[in-house]
Amino acid sequence: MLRSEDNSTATVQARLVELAQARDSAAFTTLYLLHTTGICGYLLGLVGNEEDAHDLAQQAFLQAWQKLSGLHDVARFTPWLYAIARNLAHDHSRRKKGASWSSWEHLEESQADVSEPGPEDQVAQAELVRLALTTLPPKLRDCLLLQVEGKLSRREIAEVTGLGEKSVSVYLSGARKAFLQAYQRLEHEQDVPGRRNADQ
Amino acid sequence: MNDFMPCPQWEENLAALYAVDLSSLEQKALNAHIASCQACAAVLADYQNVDALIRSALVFKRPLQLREDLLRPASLSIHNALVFKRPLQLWEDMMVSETHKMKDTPDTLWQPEHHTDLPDKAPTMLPASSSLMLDTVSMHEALSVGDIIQDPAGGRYVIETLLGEGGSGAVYLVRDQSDSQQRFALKEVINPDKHDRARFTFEGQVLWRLEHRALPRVYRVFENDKLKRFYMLMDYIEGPNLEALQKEQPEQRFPFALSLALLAPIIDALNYLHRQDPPIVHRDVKPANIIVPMKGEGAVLVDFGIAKEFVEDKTTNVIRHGSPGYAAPEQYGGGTNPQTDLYGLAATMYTMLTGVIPPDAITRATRSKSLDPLRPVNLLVPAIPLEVAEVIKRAMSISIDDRFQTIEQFWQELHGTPTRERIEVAPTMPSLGPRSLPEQSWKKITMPPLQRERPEREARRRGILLPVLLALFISVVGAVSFLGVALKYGGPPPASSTAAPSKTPSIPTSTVTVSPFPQLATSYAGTILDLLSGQKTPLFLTNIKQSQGTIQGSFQGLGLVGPFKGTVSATGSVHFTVSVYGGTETLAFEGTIKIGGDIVGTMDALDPNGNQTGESGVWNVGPHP
Repeated sequence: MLRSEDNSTATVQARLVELAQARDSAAFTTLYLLHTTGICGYLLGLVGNEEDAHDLAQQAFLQAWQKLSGLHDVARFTPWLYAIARNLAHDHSRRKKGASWSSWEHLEESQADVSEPGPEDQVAQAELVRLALTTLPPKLRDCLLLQVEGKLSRREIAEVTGLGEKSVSVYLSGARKAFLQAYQRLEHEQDVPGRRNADQ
Repeated sequence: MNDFMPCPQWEENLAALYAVDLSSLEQKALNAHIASCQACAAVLADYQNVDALIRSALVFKRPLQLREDLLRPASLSIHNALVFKRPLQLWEDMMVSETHKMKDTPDTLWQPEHHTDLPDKAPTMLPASSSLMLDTVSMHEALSVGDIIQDPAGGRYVIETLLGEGGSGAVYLVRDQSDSQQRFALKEVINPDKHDRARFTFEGQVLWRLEHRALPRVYRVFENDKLKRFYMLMDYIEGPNLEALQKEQPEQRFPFALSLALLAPIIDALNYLHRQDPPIVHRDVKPANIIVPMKGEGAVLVDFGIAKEFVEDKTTNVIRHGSPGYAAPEQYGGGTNPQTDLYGLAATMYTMLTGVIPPDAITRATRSKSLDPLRPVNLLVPAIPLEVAEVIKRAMSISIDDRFQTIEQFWQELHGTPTRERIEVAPTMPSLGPRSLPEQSWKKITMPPLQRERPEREARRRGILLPVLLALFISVVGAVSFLGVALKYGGPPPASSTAAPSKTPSIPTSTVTVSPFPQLATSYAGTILDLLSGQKTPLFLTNIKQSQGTIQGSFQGLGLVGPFKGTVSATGSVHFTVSVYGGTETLAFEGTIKIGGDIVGTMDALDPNGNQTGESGVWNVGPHP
């Protein structure tokens, strides 16, 4: 989430990582604050339900704190942290039956809300988005979430996923197209007033 | 959403629209292309829609709380409790040795040999009841009204009120038991560890050396062994802080001149701190820490930080020094220097002038420059000259190197900016109420440059007219020109305090210079892409009138019509705002003039507090015949 080209910001993060490596928990808490939105969103996108994502995010930060001394290049903290989260999500889905990354049961349960009007629209929309994400091939979804939620650069995404940088670029545009198609199809099927402001 | 296909050669870069790994050149090229290519602009809008959708959907209903108990117990809290913090890492070593030195004398960790303002008293025995009372205070409890704290020199202080409380201690208002007229602020740190003790003591020493009319004096630092608490006895400054005063102002903001006048003693104090060897960095300059005593003195820079910082949820507020909005980016990672205070000071000025607290530095630092959520002050208050806005913006640069070198330089720039015209005060001009003073007066004020230090105590005793006039200003009693106030503060003390007759600036003699500002066309036409709806609609800017860096005209777009006001900078940045929906929302436009005269930029909708509502857009217009 910190831009590598933005020297001052990257320096701030590098310094925080160094402090945290010296067991400065305040510095780590700041790192946590910097990345919590991204990590939580990434995990939620991967596993599809908040409860699991919550536990995984908690575990990811705890692991990061415990293993931080093993990180040699402080400038690589962001991809390193996302790799931890990614591995946790992988293990989690492997433990779950069906080996799918997403919890379909949860999504199906919550579809009861989908047709209700009013403030639930946003909830329904959120479910629709999550549902649309589950239709993406895992690699595409992974790249997309790392960029959108983690704001990682293509190089960093390549580092986290083990894919080539070129492939990441291709996956990224493919993922958005695929998502859009899936979302529009679902929106049409559900007939949900998805985007509240679209018709204003 | 659209079915446009992007131009193949741009597709890859469009997908990387966050430009995390696009060079600024690539980014520029992409922007230029998007401005002229409808298909790519539509695809970009789709992409941005996708991302916005995903982001809005992937949010926890129950926010994640970092289980801090799993980390080693933090020394988080104690950092915030200290008055001023040391700027140099180097001192760390010195502190360790201090700790060793002090080992043998735990009761009197540090105490001045002699202090003129607070003569040492012969130690007296505490009545048994008082001791007992204190013994019953539990480890983490705040002291109660009536409790007595005794310092090692025998001074006894009765707790009158709790001024503020936090995770690591509290600040009390205390009365000297032997002289009920003498009141002090007593700052407390509960259960400090070795490191904290040394730090607290060391800071006490540093502060004790200081003497400045705009800084509270520190008299003693001592430890209460039984309670395992540390205390710092200091001046109690009675009066409202700037945050409170601001709420009383029309539109909850201060006029420029009054802001300068109020901050003048603070500038002086910061310069004084920074001139120390090694320099002392305050690290928490903000309106709430600037108190305007109502008893005839200029503003004083204090720090009751712990009171505020610990009320809020710890997980959302872990800047170790400083406060969100005012803390500089480097405060999130250590390594502060005097320019850290410059950031806080400029942020304070920003809030005073606009009534809006700037976005916190870490949010700013994690966005690319073009997405900096810090809105220039002139965008929020169009009457503020662009030059002032730019000085403040520069002082609030994310990178320390981009800021001014010193507070003094910033202050000089601020005074120099609003056109190089002089203000003349005509004593016989008719009086003018502060509310009726036109905002145009911005341009006519030239404050005397930074005031040199005068003998501090002398100045303090003599008193400065500012607070008296300020009091009048605040209660809007009679007609007091705040310009008069502003000028009087910096100048020599007035002959008599009945100088309330108001003064207004005379019409300044303007100097004719070649305009450094790019000249806008009278009309522009183009499109705006609503990123929320993905709809692209026509945009017109017409009847544009430009005077130097100020622009105004008529806006038509997004189904709305209304006047706009704004600025254009010498570097070709264009900012303007349109008030819509009866003033409940403001559309803020920022753009850049491109070669050929087109203007390309972004739009954000803001609520009345200046926060983004989430509606945003990308627009481009070209001169329209």
